Amino acid sequence: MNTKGLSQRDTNPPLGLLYTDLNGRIVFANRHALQMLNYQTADRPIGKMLHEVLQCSQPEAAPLLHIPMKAGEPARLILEFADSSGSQTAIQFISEAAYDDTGLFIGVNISLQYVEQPEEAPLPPSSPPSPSSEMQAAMLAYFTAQVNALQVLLGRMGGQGIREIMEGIIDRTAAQNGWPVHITASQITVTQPEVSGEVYRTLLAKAVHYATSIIGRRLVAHAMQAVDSQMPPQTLELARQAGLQLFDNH
Amino acid sequence: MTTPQVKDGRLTGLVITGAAIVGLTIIFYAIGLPATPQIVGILNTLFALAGGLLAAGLWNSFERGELLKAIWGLLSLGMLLWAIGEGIWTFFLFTSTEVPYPSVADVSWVLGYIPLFVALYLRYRSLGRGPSSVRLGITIGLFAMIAALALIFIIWPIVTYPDYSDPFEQALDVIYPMGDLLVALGALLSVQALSGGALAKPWALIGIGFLINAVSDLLFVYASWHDIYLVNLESGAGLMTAIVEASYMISYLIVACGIYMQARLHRIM
Repeated sequence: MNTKGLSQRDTNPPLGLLYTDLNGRIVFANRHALQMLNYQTADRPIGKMLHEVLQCSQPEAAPLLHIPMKAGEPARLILEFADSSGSQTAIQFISEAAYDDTGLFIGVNISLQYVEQPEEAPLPPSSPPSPSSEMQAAMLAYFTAQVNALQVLLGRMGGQGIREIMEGIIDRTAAQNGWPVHITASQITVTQPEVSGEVYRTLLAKAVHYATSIIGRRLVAHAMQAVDSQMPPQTLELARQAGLQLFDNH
Repeated sequence: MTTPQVKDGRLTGLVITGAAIVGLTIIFYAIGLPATPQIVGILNTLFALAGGLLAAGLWNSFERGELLKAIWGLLSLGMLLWAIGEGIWTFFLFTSTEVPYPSVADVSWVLGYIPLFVALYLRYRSLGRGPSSVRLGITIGLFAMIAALALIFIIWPIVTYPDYSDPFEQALDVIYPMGDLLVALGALLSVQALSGGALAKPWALIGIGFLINAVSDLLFVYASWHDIYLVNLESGAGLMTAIVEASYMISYLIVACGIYMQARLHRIM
């Protein structure tokens, strides 16, 4: 496993998310993170130590936990992974401190992004991603990241049952309207390639409304703005254009 | 999912201070210090006021239109009405040898139940889930059993006493313990819905505080009826008076600690 300097390519990749407790044990991983780290769905990393999940040595992974914990600053790390075909893929990890609601450090929230696309799958110059597909990818990434953040926040504050209620609200609303969005076992699935921004916006607004009634608008806004701050600017801008950014960052 | 551990030095300090105050109160009663009822009256007023003001701080931290603003506004109003009741009671302790019962203080206490009931109902309903049917059955069954025991052994013999002339006093003997039990039930049902989350602990403290208040009210009703509740210590120290007053103090302290924890969770302190 090699560590590298920062060189993030300006693409619109999926955003993986890992949350740890204060000891560096994984408490949450979204679907993108599992895929990026070559995890099978059945083999969830929950409960494992961060360095085990990142498949690196403990000293290599330690700054991701220790810098946010001690300095309150984000920490960055780039690691290379071999995918199933054997080619190397670099992933950038950015960790930020997470605090409980008494202001105590409780772990780190880590975002995962590809630094380079695998060489086998470069974007052909003759077929750049269409604006529509870019927008679709951005909306899905933003929606997933924000719902994940709300799931974690509600789980920490209200417990597993309250978190499941929010997931049920999203799932039920989508089902009642025939929208192709589902949440099963905390994982978001979208079953059609084209989903309107209004669908994501309505579902996110429902989730935010419920979360606000449990813990208040200020804490919800704080959590969602923290996600915004970790979003690639292009994704954030597209999500904003689609009306998904419910809390202004100013 | 791990639940954040609340390691709050200020809360620990408050709990130790509160325990010391309660301990001192019991000692004052034990040695029959004449000013003890007045001191306890002031402390109870201050503790109820602290709970009301902390809840008001929470109310102020939420934006207009938020459900939590309504919930904490109502809880604040209820606690402040109870603080006013305690204040009036304390005023009587300073100004007369015999504290009237019922009095205008009771109007304030009884009115306080209304916003407390509504707040706890809104909190529970807004969670969107209740405890499992087994837990719900156990909780309600437990409360029904406590209420039935209180009714049979304490309240019923008093309210059916043939020479009882004051219907308002009779009503108060039922309203206080039953009102407290219902308020405690509301808080503890929310605790069960929030189990596993950081919010469960402060709600548990609030529920336990109201439950202790129910016990205090039952003891007060019992002690008043049997003339063993001594307002004036010049006639001797009373164990039952000490227990009743200490338990009121503990209940206000625990409720205030629960609200303080909520304020910390919502980052307003």
